[in-house]
Amino acid sequence: MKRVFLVFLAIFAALYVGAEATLKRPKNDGIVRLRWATDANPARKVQTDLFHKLHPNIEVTVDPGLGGDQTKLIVQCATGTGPDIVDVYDEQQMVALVEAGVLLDLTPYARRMGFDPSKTYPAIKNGLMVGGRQYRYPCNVWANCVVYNKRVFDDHGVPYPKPNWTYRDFIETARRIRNTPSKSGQKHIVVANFSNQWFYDDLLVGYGGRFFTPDGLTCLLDSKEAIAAMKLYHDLMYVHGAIPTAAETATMSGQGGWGSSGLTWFSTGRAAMIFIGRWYIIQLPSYPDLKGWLGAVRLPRIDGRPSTGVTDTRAAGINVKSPYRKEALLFLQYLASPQYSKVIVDDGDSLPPNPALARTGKDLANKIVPDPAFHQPFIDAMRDAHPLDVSPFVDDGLVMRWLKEHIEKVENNVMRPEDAMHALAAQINQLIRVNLERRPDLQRKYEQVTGRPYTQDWWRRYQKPQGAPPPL
Amino acid sequence: MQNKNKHSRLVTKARPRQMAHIGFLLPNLLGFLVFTLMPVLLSFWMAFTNWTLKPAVHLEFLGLRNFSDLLGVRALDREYSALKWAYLASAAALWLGIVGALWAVVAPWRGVRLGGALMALLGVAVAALGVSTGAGQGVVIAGLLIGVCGVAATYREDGGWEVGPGTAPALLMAVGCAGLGLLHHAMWARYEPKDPRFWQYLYNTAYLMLGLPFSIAGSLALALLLNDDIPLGRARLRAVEALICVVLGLITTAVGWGLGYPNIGLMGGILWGVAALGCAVNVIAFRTLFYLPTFTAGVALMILWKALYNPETGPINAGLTAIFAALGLHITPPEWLASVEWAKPALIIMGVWIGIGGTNMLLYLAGLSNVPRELLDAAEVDGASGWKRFRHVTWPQLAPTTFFITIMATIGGMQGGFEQARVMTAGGPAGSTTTLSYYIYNKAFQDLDLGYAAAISWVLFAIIFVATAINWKFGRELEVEG
Amino acid sequence: MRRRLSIALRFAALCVLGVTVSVPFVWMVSASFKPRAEVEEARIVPRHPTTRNYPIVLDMAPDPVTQQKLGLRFGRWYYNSFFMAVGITFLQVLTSAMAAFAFSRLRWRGRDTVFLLYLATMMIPGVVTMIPNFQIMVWLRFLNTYHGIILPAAFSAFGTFLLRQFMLSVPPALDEAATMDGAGPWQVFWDVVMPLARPGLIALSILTFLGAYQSFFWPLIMLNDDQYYPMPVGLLALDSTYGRQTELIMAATVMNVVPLIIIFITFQRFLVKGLQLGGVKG
Repeated sequence: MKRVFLVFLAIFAALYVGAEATLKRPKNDGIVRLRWATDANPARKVQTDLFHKLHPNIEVTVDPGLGGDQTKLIVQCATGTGPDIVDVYDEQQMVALVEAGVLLDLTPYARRMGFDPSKTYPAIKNGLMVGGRQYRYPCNVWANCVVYNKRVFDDHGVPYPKPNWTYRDFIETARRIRNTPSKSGQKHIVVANFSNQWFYDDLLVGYGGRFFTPDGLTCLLDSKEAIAAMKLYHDLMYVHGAIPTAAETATMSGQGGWGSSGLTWFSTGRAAMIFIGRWYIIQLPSYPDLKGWLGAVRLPRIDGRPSTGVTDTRAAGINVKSPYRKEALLFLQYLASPQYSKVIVDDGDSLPPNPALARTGKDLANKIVPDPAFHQPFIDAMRDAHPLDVSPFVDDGLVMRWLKEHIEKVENNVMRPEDAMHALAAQINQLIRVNLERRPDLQRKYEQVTGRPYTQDWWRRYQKPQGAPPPL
Repeated sequence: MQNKNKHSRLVTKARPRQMAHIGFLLPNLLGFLVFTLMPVLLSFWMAFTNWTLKPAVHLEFLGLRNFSDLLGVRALDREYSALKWAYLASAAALWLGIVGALWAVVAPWRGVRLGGALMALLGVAVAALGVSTGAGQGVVIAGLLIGVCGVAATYREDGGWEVGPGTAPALLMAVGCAGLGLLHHAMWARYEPKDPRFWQYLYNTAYLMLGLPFSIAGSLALALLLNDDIPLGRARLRAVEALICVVLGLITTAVGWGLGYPNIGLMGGILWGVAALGCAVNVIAFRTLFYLPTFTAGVALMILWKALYNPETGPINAGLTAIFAALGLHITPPEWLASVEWAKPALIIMGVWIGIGGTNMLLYLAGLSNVPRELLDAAEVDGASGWKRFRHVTWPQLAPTTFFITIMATIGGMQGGFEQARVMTAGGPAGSTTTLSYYIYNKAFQDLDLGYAAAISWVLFAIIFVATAINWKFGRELEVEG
Repeated sequence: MRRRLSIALRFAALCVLGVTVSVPFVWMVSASFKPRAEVEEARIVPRHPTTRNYPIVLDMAPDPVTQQKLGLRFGRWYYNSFFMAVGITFLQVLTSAMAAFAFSRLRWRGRDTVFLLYLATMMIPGVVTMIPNFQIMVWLRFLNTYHGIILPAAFSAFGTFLLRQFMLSVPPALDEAATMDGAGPWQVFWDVVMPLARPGLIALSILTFLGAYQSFFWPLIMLNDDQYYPMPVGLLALDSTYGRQTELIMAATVMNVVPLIIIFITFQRFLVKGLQLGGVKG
């Protein structure tokens, strides 16, 4: 028995020596190596190579820990060992990271180095800032439009969506696709919806609804706009059959990754439409059948309102504790440069940070989709889109999680739309009260925002009194 | 350490022997202290503070506030203290009753038979009430479980029908159930739980453990089936059998393909292929086959199962539709991971599939090898049937293994459901597949609320501890002490 | 005749169960031969089978869409997974066996209390100890190194518990016989108890190897440099905003699993053919 163990010890020792011997140690060659925490999209290599050409003494390597969740980022930043450049995928994540003291305040450097909010779309400006200070700069910017498969529309003999269409038109189109048998005999679903949350967010903004009042003290998810949006969502699903049911949605949602089945459904020609940003065309080269058959149109609008939706950005921030702050700032400057924007345009990775390179559809025409008319709606959408609003008095990540939970309850007919929104708003308001009660820094913020001293019953002015909430 | 033991070999006094004993423990203990105990102690401290990763929030010692936030109730309007305390007392009575009942089953208490009978009646009553008032699956399942435990207690060989300490738990449970049932509406019209999600996730965690007995029993059955080689004949005969199976497999596949059912044909072909492998290498093939799910555990497997459970295109529903159609039933198959009611059963089925041929089977195989051949042969000579041999020879010899498996299953089960929630369902439609460990993860890494997350962990620990203590006491009775 | 029937039934049951278990794998293997467009379909046999996925994963062929090699260091990751798993298994089995010996056969004060402490720490969900644990790693300078992954995983309460159970079923009379012959505890350990606990050792080795081979979370957080990555972390490269390349993940997983199967087949017979206890029995 002892011999067996000794043999294994010898094997292990040999393997270890082999592993250590073949390690490439970082050379002391004066090159600064930055770690960029983003996902492992092959396009990043093109972007980092270009940066290296512009700044030969800096090398950026991709650290793909962000496979959908930010655990690695949090753990490493909590102990001061985090990456230098951090990709922040949405506004809620930015707020969380700023509160955790991870992101560097870019405001003193941004204007000087040319990546302040005036260098990108006006619509996204608030999405880059927390408390009036800038914390990130876009790698790409997106707003959803409706991408449709002309071949499927032709198959059912339905006319293409018109540019200024309303939800009534959308319902009618959906009805015709569902009820007219296709000439080829294949069944199609109307919308390959892969994220119930994004869909609802677009509806909410389409109705003109908000998450919070501008002072952040009251949750507005039980306003009539929010309830109307939820009712429309439910009706689109169950009354009109325009969007897939919970079952079909859930099987297409992108848990644990980015390439969701919903995209594949649309890409393989089994769905007529998809509500998505321009980044959809990254997938396109894998599906040569679709070439030339795609059209895009803006999101349907609510009667009496223009077409609006959410805009957000995958934006890069800098780790406060990075030892290479100067070089990391140069990378952000690169993001604002026309060279980088050109890479994004060619890649199809949504809209480039620099609006000057995306003035009309012709600017965005690339090898993947040469038709300028396809890209134009995405540019138009950016004019009217705006980011979701956040409140400093509550954890916005938590709010999004609770919202998703309630959307799913409505989808599964566990709660009616109005009840769900009332319950959700009640919980969020409750959370705001608890937070204010317990955190002196928020109380000071309250005084700043309202000009009044904080008292225990402050909420009577801002929030509805609590009755017995509907069952959870 | 080597030197210490050489020394002790020369001097056979007690003191140096003690040193040797510590010497054996030392490497493991050191690692344990640094990598396990210290973080655990730190997390214990965390549970009593408001530590978040936000520098704006100053670190404060909170005492029990996290726990009160987690487990407490909040008045909606004004306080109704009497009602609140009566309700909490009923809940406490119920829990004490349950723990007491479980303890009674393992401890030599008098009155266990009577208590068991009472519990069985109570369980049936609760289940019936749950069904008739439509109070939800949880109540019905709880009732059934209580009933089952009651029946098991009634059949204890040394239980008595007199009234002894063994009856008290059943009476406590009855009082608790009655109190909860009567006060339910009044209480929840005036109060709300401070963290209603905790209770939902606790229910989810407990529900997901329902598959464990099946998984363990299945592993035992498989281990028994695969312990010895199947007598299929000598090598030459086996080779012929294998060849026949291969040919049959090819025929089935070709036929299936020709008839336009390539999938079914291929499945048939694989069936014959497995049979061929079984003929050729016997038990090794099956053991490897059943262990395959454990090999590939991880993201790939979850992606796989997610695709299998796809309500529209997944093979499971395709198969079910075919079966229902063949039987003439007009039921649509469930929507599995996409539906609130079926998401948890879907995960249970997946868990049983993965676990049945996995680690537990391996452990049972190893344990079975320790069962002395002579005992079994002696029993066979005495004319004992297969079942009797199993019950009186094999099962007691497997006791340490079963003990280990049950404890690890309890501990693992209560901490489980994390990977599934993270990779497959993101906590499931409307939070129906979120378990406590996923909740802890969300609190810690999404909301950055580490103090609260630690509090949840320690509550979970308390539950696991009680469950393990009961398990331990049960195992002690059967363990062969050194 | 009845015996023949029972044998046949047993065989048939195993075959059917075997097929049920193997269906997902058939799907996995078939997915690894599908082009990206077909991966989501229910067909087991791909319409346009392709063998390109394997060379793409091995970085020997370019991705058909970007026409560039993906830069996957599959070989290195494979090696890392394998060698770290070997190291962890070796250390864990050794230290756990020694500790299990101390807990099961030696009598000393506080034995059961310390053991219960071990057991108790297994009941804490690992998620919450992650940050304190990581902080300790930072203090010890274990980040981004091999020993940082191997050493912490080399100590396991689980392994100790498991081996203790196996050692408990070895009769103490054997120990006493050996001690009376003048053997010290070290010799008793190696020559008497360990050989008899072999099935347990094999079981623990297989379990530990598997767990270490597939471990994802810890290496993800501890390692920043892709030359240290084990396979599961390396495969993250196939799941990005470019799209989840399921067919490549499946191909990589199939390649990953094959050596595990070989190891398992080789070692599983030791599980059962342990030494028979012909001697003294309790």
